[in-house]
Amino acid sequence: MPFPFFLSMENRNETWGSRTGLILAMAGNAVGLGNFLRFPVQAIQNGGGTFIIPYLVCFVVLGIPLLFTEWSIGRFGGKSGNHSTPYILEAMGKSSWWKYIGVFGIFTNIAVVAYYTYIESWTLIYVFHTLFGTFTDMSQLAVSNYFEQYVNLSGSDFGIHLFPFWIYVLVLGINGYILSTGLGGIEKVAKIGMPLLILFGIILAIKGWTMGAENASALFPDANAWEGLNFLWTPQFSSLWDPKVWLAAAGQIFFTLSVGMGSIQCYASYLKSNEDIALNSLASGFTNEFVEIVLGSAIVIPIAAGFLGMDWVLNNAGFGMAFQTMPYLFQQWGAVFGIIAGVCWFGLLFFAGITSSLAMGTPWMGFMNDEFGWGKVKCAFSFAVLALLMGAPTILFYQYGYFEEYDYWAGTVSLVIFALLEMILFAWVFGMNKGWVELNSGADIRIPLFFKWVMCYLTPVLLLLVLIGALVTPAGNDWLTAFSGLWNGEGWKMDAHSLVSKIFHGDLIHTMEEEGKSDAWLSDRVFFSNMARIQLLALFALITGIVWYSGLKRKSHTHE
Amino acid sequence: MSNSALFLAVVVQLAVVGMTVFCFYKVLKLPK
Repeated sequence: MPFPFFLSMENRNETWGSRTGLILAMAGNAVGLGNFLRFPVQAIQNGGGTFIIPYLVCFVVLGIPLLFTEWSIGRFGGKSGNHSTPYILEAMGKSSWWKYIGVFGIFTNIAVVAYYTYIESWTLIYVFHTLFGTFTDMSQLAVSNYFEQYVNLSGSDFGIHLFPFWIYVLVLGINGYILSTGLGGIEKVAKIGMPLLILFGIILAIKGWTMGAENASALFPDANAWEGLNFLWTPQFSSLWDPKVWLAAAGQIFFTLSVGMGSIQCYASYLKSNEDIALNSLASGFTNEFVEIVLGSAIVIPIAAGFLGMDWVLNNAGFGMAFQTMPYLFQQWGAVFGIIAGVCWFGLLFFAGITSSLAMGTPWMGFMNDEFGWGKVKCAFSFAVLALLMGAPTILFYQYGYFEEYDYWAGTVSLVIFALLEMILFAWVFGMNKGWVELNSGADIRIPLFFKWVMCYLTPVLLLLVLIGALVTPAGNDWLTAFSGLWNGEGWKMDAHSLVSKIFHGDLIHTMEEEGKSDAWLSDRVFFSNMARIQLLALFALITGIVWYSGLKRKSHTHE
Repeated sequence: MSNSALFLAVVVQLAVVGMTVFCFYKVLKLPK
């Protein structure tokens, strides 16, 4: 189909400046906060060393196939001048209905970037707090409370009301500015940010591996970083039979590689038609794994264990540790190294965040430029405004779970759904034989034929299992009891956090009962949860509408 | 740290580092 010739050619010939820039940008897309915060926590909660085995298996049979698929789909769509998933998928699937599946590839990015950039803004402000010595001489409780009052908007940093909100706007502005300079700007950030991230990570990882018991204290006399490392890496083979561990591993591989979002396809659409996919995708995938397994595992858990002991870590390990605990621990290393460690930590988190958030901006920009001829500045500005509109409630209503609601539906569920659909498209609709040819075209390495079989049969089945696992998670993640319940007449007891239960706010009711919360608490949480869902649906409807309108435009041009 | 933990940590991390280095080596070695 010929391009509507009068549309701006500004982005159409845009391509990556260098191969290293492309790989670092793709790696940056994948490397994010999850590498440092989610992976170690998942490992701890799923048997420590045994987690690594299902994790690596899932990397091979889920991660790499999805990377191959998304890069291939992207480059294929780019050949016909399409730079975001609606028309990329339509090009591959032939039926015009595929463009509505492609809506996910824009929706998820905007919905996630809305709250993701808020976390990014925390990392940025914490770099400055570290440099200004805000946490010097603060007790652990004070450091933790500082974070609480920050996200509850009850503090007044520098006397500025709603200071966290303005820093968020600043970070959106930074993202918007870089996006307005096109792929070149994204590449530059990746070429500076990724090496710095790796350097900072190596500095902290060396500390994690070498600190041992030197930071044990009277309060925590048994604290030893080696215990953290030991727990993380000791294989416990019994958990290999637990479906919960395999599901957790699959989930982690998903999030860590940023598949199912639509940003990889977008980046890949700027490849030249004969540019390699096989080696490039593996290089970026392994860079992500290097950051996750080698660096991510060596920082939070060992350092926390080295100060607070393994018991504390097992009871408290979670996302909040990054901001509520680490700053306190760093300053125990003295004035100079404490600041270096803090700047390294929040600096690497910021680079991890921004390289991911920039990627999330490109599908919207690609689409609006392709279909409506919008220039880069207009695209970037509109993206930032959309992100702000979506994100503002997650900041203002943080304590009501608005943030978590987005993260669940957009940042968890929609990824798996979209990945399953695109896998079916690539392997079954487009056809695995054609797909294999497409993938290997221009390849700089030979991909083992084993992957052809995996992508066709194994990966879609695994994705389906992950989705079913999330839909009907058994109570307490006890799969054995749930299955036997099907036979002995007790039925399948669903967990409060299963998708089906969550739709009806079963998780909130469960929390209310477990933690003795009031009815007022529940009605507040239910209200804001419903508001967040309405907002997400509105965004999905908006993008669907824009895609539908673009379809009309395309049809009318074809008739001219 | 137990021997099995150290063994697993070293083997897995060396493998990941090795694959990453291998990929970048191939990329940088190629003429294009």
